[in-house]
Amino acid sequence: MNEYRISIRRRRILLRILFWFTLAMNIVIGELFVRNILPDQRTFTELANNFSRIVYFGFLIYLGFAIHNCTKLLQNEAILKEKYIASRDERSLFIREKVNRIAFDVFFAVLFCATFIASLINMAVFHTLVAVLAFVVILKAVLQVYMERKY
Amino acid sequence: MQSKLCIYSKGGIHTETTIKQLRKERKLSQDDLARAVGTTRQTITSIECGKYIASLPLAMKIARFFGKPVEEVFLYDETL
Repeated sequence: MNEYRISIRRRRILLRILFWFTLAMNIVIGELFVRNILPDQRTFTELANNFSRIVYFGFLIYLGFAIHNCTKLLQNEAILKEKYIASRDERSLFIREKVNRIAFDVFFAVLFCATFIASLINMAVFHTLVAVLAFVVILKAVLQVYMERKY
Repeated sequence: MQSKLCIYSKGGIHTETTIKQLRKERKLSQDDLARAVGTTRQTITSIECGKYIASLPLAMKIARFFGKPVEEVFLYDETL
């Protein structure tokens, strides 16, 4: 239980660092673009611009909520204990593993199809998707070898 | 002789548990048992209904909580 409390504290510290770093990076890069120290050569469509804003602010909001949850957990012993039991619950872990496995298989199949379709339409997108596909395959192979040695 | 209440049968593996009966005998709720063995009520429900097979550590904890050998709480039969 104490280890769990320490891990929550560590998580909160990491989340705070990530929150302020993300915020600072946006301000610094924005200032560099405004003062023309780093010329902004990006060609954004309106859709891409809005999407990147949503991702950025969405991520900040998520971090804010995560920090708030960690603080709430550390302040309330009963909720902390409940979360501790839930985090170690084998059925939940089993379900999560199963969901992750199925999601990965579906994601891989969709990525494979998308790569094939991209090869017919746009070579830049095709090369990006091939790189992602290769990364996923290598990552899976490395993890397979690592886990087989570990267990 | 205890009657076997819950049955799990999948892929030739056949298990039965007497958790529900043991729990009722001691007038315990699923929540009480879950707290005692450090798991969630949902897990106890799934084990009792035969939707999920408990891991060895959890099976040992449940059996010890009831003061019974694991074989009496979880009955395992492989019919290949």
